[in-house]
Amino acid sequence: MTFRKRAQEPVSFLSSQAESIIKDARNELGNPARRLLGKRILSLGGLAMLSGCDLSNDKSVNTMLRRISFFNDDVQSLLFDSNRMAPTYPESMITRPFPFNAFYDIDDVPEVDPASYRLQVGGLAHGKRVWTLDELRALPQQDQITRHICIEGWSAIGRWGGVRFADFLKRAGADTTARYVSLHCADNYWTSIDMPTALHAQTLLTLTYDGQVLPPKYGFPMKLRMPTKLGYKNPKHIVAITVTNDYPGGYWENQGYNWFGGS
Amino acid sequence: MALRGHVDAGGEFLVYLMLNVASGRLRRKLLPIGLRSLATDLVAALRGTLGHEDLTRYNAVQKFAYLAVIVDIALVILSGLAIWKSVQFPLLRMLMGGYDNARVVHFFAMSVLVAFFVVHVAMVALVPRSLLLMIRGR
Repeated sequence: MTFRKRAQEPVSFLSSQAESIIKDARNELGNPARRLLGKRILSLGGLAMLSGCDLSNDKSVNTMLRRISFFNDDVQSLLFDSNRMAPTYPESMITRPFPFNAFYDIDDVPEVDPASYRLQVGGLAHGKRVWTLDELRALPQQDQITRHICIEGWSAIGRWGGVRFADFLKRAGADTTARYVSLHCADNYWTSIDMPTALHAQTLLTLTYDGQVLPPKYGFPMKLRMPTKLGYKNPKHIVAITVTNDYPGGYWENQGYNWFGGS
Repeated sequence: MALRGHVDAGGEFLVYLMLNVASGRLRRKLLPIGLRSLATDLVAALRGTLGHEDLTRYNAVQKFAYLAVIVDIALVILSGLAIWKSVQFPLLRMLMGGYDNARVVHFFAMSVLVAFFVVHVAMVALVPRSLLLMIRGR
């Protein structure tokens, strides 16, 4: 057995301070609260070191992060003032071409047949439950030029037209005191929003893009456009709308994206 | 996921700033700072001749760096708020020069923070005694 030699003499300033450092440490150790704190700091440090391995797979860590995210949602609901409007832009500022983005490639965009398309309204609503595309087009329309902000870090300005979602919900007899509106799509995407956002004046059940029928790449036949929400909260190809008080989650939200996801 | 958590850190900074201003520590430690003393100390620092006899008193370069980083963190938070809640804080959004510009401000303010961190750690390595001061407070 061999013993390694001490690599270096202690640095001079440390040795000159050594006595008082030890004295300080002894005093601190006498205090049980400080001992506990020290112990916790050590275990926290150990936990942080592990992050390179599988900390993100740890169930308790995920539960804690999720709880923080839900707390974050509550704070954001409090901050949300439905009278505040997202900025609108002149036509000259529209981003051309407007980017396509989805969790799949542009070749896999679903093809929805306009003739057989039906929008289902479910949950806490006592009005008309099945809507055809022509019925949606017959409702009062309006349009907006707003900025679409993606969580990936890009943003683009576009022009969307359609029915104000608050009007649609009223016509469908939705219980607007419910907490959530969940949205299911033809591409199996789904998301959900808070009722104040659903009733926001700029939340639009979108049927057109830049004056033309909404093309498949932007969500034919219908997308929900919310300039107060990030892109992943703006679902395309919607086939079912459900009004509910049970937290519905969403495709990305269930994988850790923040649920409120908006401004 | 980047959104989650990191927007909350601003609160701690606010507490730090309020305590520093209220206790007078900010004024005592970081002020006054003169252009001339800053120039002299900067030249001395670059030549490696800056004295470190009393570490509890900051030299002009330190004062400037610490003040700058406080202002920078405030800018990081404000530009971050303008991005996070661009609809709810229209005044902030306007001050940052619009949504897109707020992102540019946020990025550069963050870069300044990282640069400060790198230099700060390098300085601690050059004057190791200061580490002891940071931990023990004397």
